[in-house]
Amino acid sequence: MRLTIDNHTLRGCDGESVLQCALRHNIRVPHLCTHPSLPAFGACRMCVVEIDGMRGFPASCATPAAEGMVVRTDTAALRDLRRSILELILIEHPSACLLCDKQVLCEELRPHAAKAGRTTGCHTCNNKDVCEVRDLARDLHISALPVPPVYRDLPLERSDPFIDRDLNLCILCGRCVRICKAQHGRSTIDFIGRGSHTHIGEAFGRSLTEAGCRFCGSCIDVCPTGSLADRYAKWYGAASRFTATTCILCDAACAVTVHASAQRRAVMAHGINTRVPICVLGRFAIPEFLNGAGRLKAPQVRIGDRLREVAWPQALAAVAERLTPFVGNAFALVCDSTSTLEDRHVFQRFTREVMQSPHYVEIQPDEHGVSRSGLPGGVRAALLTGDFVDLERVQALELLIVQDCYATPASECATVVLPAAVLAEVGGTWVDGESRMRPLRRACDPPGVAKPDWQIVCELAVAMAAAGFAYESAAAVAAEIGVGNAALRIKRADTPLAASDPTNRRTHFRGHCLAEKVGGLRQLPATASSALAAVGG
Amino acid sequence: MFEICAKREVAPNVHELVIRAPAIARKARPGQFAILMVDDKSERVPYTLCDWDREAGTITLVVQEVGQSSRKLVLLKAGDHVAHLAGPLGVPLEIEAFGTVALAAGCYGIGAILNIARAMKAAGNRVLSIVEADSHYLHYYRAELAAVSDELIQTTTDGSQGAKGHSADVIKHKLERGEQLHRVIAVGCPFMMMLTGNATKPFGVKTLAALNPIMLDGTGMCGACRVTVSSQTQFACVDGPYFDAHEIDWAELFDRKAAYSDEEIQAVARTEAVAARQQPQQRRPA
Repeated sequence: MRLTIDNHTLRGCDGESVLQCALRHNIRVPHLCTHPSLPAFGACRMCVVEIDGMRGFPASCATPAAEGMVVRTDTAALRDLRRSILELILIEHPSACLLCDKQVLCEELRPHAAKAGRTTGCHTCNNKDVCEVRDLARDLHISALPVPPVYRDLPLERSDPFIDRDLNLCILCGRCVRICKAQHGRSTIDFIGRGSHTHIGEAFGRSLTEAGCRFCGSCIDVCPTGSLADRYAKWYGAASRFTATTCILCDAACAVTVHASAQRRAVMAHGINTRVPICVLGRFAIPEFLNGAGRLKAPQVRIGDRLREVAWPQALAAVAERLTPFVGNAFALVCDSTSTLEDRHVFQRFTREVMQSPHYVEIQPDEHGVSRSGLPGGVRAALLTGDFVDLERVQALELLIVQDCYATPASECATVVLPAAVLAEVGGTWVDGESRMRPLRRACDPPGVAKPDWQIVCELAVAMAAAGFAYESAAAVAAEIGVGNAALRIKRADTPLAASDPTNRRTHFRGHCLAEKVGGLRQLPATASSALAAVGG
Repeated sequence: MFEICAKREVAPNVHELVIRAPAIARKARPGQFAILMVDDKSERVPYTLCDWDREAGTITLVVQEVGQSSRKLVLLKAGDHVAHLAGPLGVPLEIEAFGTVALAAGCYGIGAILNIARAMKAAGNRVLSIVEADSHYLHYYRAELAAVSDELIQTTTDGSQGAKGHSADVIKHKLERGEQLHRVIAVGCPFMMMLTGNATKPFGVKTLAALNPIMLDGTGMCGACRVTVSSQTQFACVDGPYFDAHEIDWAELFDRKAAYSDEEIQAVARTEAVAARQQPQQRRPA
């Protein structure tokens, strides 16, 4: 089909709206309630256009493109109309900063928003850097409001896990309601009340948790204002790096985009496929787990009765020296299958070739992510890459090396502790629940001087004068194993189990209880396994 | 431990706390501040003494939630206690009969000028309280300030109440019209105080600004609150908080205040959900 938009003759696609057709051809039409992953709604009226032969100003998002249509998107009448519509929206949205004559100087001297409770303007808004309302107000040169603004004076809602809501900023575009319905079939939230009292909320005044929210965070991702916010990420502002990688917190291996701050710290993660939700772990747990205060940041060696931080060469020399007497059956290396293929390959080679031991123990986590194992009989020295072995057995060892991301009771009694990079801090290849290869890409820096597992063990092997461990990168290890093509799992027909019911989420990663590291998880309804534990099952 | 006797949200995100602290109330003088620790592990934060009642033994603070420490503080309720309060600190403001005194204030400063206006008026000055806010619903203390000022002028950034603009615009306009201001005192965020100083400088009107750098001990020992005034290093805690607004190195103050912005964000990021019953009580719509 052919149609004319702003004097350009364009080819339209079947089923496409006038707005979609215009945007596809780089014709900018202001729009607000429309979102690429949602069907048209026609709520905000920002995308009004003029179409020959049609009365009034149809909303281009809800008007199907048709053969021979003649559309105008930028006339004086449309600009006036859009400005009036946006003014009406801004009357109910804290907008003083957009009307301020000191904006330029203010932005220059205090570019970051103050970390306020309730937001009263752009300078106290978590969404300041990426706000769609703000962008539109600037595009349309709004400098005054026709009548004084109205502040709804609603309380800041911050009693649910992970999500803060300041509905005083809400413009009722309904994206959150629609994405919830589109992704889950049934929306937890909806428009409540009528007229000027309309707000987004749950039925019967319940909280998100009580209303059965799945905490997939998709509502936050589509919100054009600062109304819905990720409590952890909200004050970091616009991220400076976006990396597509695989979430390895469960076997579903969802493709996620990890946002990193200017300091290269993980700030937020969200699903790549906007049609299927991801689970609470993928959406909210990754940054908080990675940035936890208890992360191991530097190698430590026991000197006297205390662990002391040392530089990598000293730590590796200490491990090499102490491990040498245990070459043979007395040594075991324990990891679980949340390690990358590259890590596990190096672990195996190290155990067999350098330590000449058959005791390479690779645990398969159970459905809750719990990895526990004993140690083979006769083992007197072990390298543990997570919290896998009972403390009593660990204490009975003559030599314990812990290579992990968090301090544990076991690491407290280790001879040497080596800090490992994990999750979005490492690149490599991972095998998901369907035995497919999934890529991991480094999205952020590890804390302190922590390094990827394969690298630590390779450097250790070199320190023990072993040959063939001088890999340049994880990719070099992958090439040796002959890893084929790994592709992100973006398309999927089904919703991951934990994304449709958070009680199916995993509780552990690498032997660590996730709820101990990620505050919001403690507030969520119990998982099946913890419910069982509570009744002594 | 110091008991919070009363607490209310006077404007969105602006909280008024009345705290029992008889020793501070007995000695407090206009322009001074107190350092508060919410709990025994909390940061030490300076807050301006907005008002005090020597008989009741209470002080009044106006606190905006803008980070982890103020967040903890505003989540407390009447009847709760704060761990520690040290004060009064800082050099009291010079109170004399100057003639006409303009008090420019924004944000928490609107609360902070209450006692200054009262003292300046009692000393025989004509007191103009010029208060700014982003919008009409962010103004507070109207009646309180009107009672102790000869004139209360309100401005809003969006023009929804009073003049459109900032208090600096009002002061500039007055000076341009030839009105005599003998002293200007600015209390608010550094940005607002800087604008006020810039407005009065061409007219040579003595202007004081209450500086609020990051502060630790408050007694001149640590030097965290250093500011540069007239090319000299000064400590805001013992040499201030009031300094000549025309001589302050504002750029350095902005830089120093932002020194820990990444750590501040991390501290807030790790906060957990607030129990529903712990939410600050709601301000009633006017």
